Amino acid sequence: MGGGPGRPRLARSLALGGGPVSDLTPLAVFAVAAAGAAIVGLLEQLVAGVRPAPLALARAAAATLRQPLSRPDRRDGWLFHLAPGLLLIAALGALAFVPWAPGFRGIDLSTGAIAFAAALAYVTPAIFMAGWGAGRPLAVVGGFRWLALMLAYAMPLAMIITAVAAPAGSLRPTDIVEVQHAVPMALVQPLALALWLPAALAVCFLPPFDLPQADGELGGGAFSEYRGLDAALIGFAQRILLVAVSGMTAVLFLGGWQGPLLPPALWMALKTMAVAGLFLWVGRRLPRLEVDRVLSLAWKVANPLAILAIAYAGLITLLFYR
Amino acid sequence: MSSLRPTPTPALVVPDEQTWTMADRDPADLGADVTYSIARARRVLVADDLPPQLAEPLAQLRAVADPGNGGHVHDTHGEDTPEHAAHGHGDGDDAHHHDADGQDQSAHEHGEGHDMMAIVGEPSADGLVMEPIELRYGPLATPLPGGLAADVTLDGDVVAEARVEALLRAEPSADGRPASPDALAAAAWGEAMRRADAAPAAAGAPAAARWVRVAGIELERAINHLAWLRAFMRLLGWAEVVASVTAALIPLRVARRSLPGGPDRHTPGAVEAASDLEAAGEAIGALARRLDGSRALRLRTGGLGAVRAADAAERNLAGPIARACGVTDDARADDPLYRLLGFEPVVRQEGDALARALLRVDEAEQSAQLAHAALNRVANGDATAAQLRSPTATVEGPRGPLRARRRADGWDLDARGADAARSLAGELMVGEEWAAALVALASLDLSPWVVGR
Repeated sequence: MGGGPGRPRLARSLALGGGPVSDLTPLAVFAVAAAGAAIVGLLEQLVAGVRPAPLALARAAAATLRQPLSRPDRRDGWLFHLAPGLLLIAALGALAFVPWAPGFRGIDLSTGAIAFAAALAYVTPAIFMAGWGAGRPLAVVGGFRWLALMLAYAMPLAMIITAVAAPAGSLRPTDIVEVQHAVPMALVQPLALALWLPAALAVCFLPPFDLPQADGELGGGAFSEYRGLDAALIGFAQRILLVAVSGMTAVLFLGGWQGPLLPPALWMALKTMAVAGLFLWVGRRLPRLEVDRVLSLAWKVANPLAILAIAYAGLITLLFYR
Repeated sequence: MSSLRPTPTPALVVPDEQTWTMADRDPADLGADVTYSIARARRVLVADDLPPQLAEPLAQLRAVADPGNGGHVHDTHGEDTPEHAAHGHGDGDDAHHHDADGQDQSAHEHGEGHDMMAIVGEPSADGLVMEPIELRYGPLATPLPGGLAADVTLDGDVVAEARVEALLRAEPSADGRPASPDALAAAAWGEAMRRADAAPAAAGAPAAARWVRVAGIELERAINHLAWLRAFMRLLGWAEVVASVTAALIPLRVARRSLPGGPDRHTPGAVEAASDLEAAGEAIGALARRLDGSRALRLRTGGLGAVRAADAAERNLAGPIARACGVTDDARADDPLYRLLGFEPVVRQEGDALARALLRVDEAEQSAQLAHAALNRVANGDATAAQLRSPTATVEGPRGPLRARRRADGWDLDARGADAARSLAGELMVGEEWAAALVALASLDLSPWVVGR
């Protein structure tokens, strides 16, 4: 699954099998998404000091699905109803570019790392559509918040991917994993890791970056009007996003599936869940950040430092990786 | 794993979590994970004695929480019957229909011939002409006490105008006995009325009973401040501190239940309550030290809603709002019982949301210590309590002084500073980004009860 000679065009490889995408890739990605979302749900319970209960998760999901769909009076119908699906597609799209093992690489593109960031970009219109489409003041505020914030998150993400790809000489995630056979990139580029972690957490709109939904301030914000299947899709998409960014964190900084004794896929799963658990734990430890402060930190601190990280990556590439 | 809790269920709490806790019922006891998001909630917890002014907002909330089932949701402590959908839903001609949390969906009209491509009007502070958004925040499903509502005009995400309103008024009791006009300060009002009561039974209460009442008032203050802190931390989205505050509330609530009952008895319950208060004091002290040194809290609340001491004095503000800006105004300082306990008012200088939050935590710790000291006097058989009876009695409640005067045909009741605080709240919100405005508003801990009119 994945890998193979040359770089056949995407459409042809879908038809023939092999190449960067196999016929089983969509099914496999969805299976990883479902399993990952369930494990994230259990992690959320554990981090909150609640006894992990898969049945409780299933009951909560069933209860949400039983709710009728919401039809806010002042909604913009197309935007409102398309937003959850677009968010899910963005999350699945990002997850598809995360390689899990040498024999299970998802969509193995030569520009896979940047394609991952490109997939994440679709989160922006999805959340804005949700907020605007609901037609409620605080929902619109949530949507506009995200519009301002996502650009601030996306730039450091793309620049850090560039910095991490430099030693590998490639944007293919599997190449980035393989270049870490001796030392993980977390130790080689700690600045890049320090910038990546908050940006990756923010992309998932989880605490302390839960600004578009902000339970206390906005009463659910951009997602406040969703019920039933729509609400379930949004919850599912958010968990898949967390799995995707955690998996890509493991790929970019923790050596991916490399490790002794255990099977590669298990190493990758453990590293992914460790990162996801860290994100969830940090979210409980800190209050929600203010919009203005996040924007200020992103534009005035993170972006300049990300440029510095690229320069540093260039230097170490010349010194140690060529 | 055995110390881990079962999975809580997201729930809306009516009228609010703080009121439930003051009535000695914590939503966490019912397995509820308090949320203010109607979309996320799967239950609605309704208090048994809901004020009548909140019946209609509750009906609207239920209708939106579960519109496909006629407003029937999984209720606890409420009528478990279907509700009719709220008025205004689906009525496209109603320019001011309300969602269940009371949010008004209207926007200013710009007259006939409104051009959808051009927004006309006065430019906002940043020079852009934007369509203002009017919304009504509250009276339910918010971090504020149930019954408190804010009519807000937003200019983008900045508050352009705001007015805060308290909707609740106590109904006179059917049997003529003095009823607390504020459910959030029942013990303090009860003591004020008792001291002002001319009835002979109130004059000859033994010393132990008076110390128990002091302990009761201080317990009420500590619980009120922590319950407020928990709601404030939910507003800030700080889950870990919410859990810490919930843990600190437990021994306080147990101590309140252990308090000796009745005005003329003291029982071994005083000893049990005292030991619970010792544990409570330690938990609150640890919380106070953590929050005092918290940079995250400082960044989030520092400088918001600042009130100067001169303004506080001019507006006749009282209670923690005044003490947080350096005004040493506390009715307990003049109370001989508190002087015997060595009471000194807690005061801070900055006058902002951070100062108000930290002051309340400090006061909660102090109240636990005062209650502990008072109950120790009961346990030790201390009889040196002063007689307290005057025509006009003043007791320091959780939000300021509460004054009661007995008349031939009823009571004159006054909560000094309450109205001033509500009018101040609107002014503090103007010009702030929405989240910051809510922090400034919530930091005032306004009561939704109007007293005296």
